[in-house]
Amino acid sequence: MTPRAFTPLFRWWERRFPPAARPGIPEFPAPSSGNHAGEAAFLACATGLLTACWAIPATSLLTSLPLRVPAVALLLFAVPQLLMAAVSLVSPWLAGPRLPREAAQDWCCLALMTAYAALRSTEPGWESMICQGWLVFVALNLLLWPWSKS
Amino acid sequence: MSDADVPPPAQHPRWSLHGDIPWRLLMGGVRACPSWLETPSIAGWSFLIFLCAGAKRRAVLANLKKLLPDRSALLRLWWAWRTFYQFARAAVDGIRYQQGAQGLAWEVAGLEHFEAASAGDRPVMLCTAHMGSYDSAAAFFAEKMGRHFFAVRLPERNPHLQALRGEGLRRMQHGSFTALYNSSENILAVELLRALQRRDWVAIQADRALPGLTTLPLDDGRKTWLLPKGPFVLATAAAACCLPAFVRRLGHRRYRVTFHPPLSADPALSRGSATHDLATRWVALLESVVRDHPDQWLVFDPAFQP
Repeated sequence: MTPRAFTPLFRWWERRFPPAARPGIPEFPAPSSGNHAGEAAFLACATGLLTACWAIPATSLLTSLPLRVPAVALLLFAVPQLLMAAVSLVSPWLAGPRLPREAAQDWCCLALMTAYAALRSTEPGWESMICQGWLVFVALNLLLWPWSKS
Repeated sequence: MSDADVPPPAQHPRWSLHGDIPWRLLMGGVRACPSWLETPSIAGWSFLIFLCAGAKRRAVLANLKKLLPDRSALLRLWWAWRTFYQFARAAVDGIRYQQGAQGLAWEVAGLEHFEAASAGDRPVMLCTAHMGSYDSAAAFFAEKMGRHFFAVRLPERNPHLQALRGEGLRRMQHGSFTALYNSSENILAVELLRALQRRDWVAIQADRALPGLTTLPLDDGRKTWLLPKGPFVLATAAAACCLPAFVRRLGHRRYRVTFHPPLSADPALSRGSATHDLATRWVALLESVVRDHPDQWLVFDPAFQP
């Protein structure tokens, strides 16, 4: 992983809105982007929202709010750990000389999130709206993907 | 004293916070974690550790109470959890760096102070604090700034963890800096004095004294700091230029190293008074930095006299 964003949409964003240089404060390595943190925050939020799509309906049997809120919070923490476990099982198959381990993990995680969003995107309710939002993000990335170079 | 000669430190169980098993689990978790899942995972785990590690939590809260008595207890509680969170983020970044990731971005402020100290004729002692990812900062500093130096560390409290951390440090160092372990103050002082006389730089964390180190209690009028005496005695004895440098985590894999103007004791003072004078100047600077970023002061032991 480099300090650069890795999804095409955020790479485009970096080019369009380069970070302002801070006078008198040199940066190492030379600033190639400032948006890596923005991408990480966006993807972390997206993971949280997609997890909520499952965690909130899954706890619907708990009618007491003081029980339900901690249960949802626990699931929001625990489910990404399961996702991590799934990624660590699958990503070694993808990693290789052209795809470093960290990049393989990132792409594998995105693929799993997209598969989940695709499965839930047609159901009625607010959950499907979040899943559709994620699919729009994926579609934009596919549009911006440098197909000619790859 | 090199890391090969480190005597076995006081025993702590392998599964305790000072043991090697939590560290090994963390290394495995970091290896498996996609980059953007770091934030929510670390937030959750650091909250659980914050709840379970009562002694550490109380020490952080007591330090914050002495440092920021004017702030509300709720705000201090928030900063205490943030301290655990920042420590975990810095530890994870350090592990990523050891595992070969090249993703840490560094900003350097106050470079003119560093350059002036480099150009000067006096021996230089980098005075720093427990802030940010100090292991990766040391590696970055040595690699990018082209300056070999000796970094003083306390040995870990469990021999298994010491071996693990020593191995990680060796992977980071590439010969660019040498870690010296503060397990015998007298021998170390001689080694450091020789290094300073050779005009090698020495980096010391001078913000807290732990049991086993000679303590310099310093009353600033409102509270009494428990500082390690060694760095100030050494700086005075070697007539070294004391260059303060603080590492601060700015965000996702981004740090800032800030150099401040060098500190010097009044040359007219006797050695004992000069040591005290230097420590007083250091504490004034340390307090201003830590008060601005209380969650970034990664000290989990009492830093003030109760």
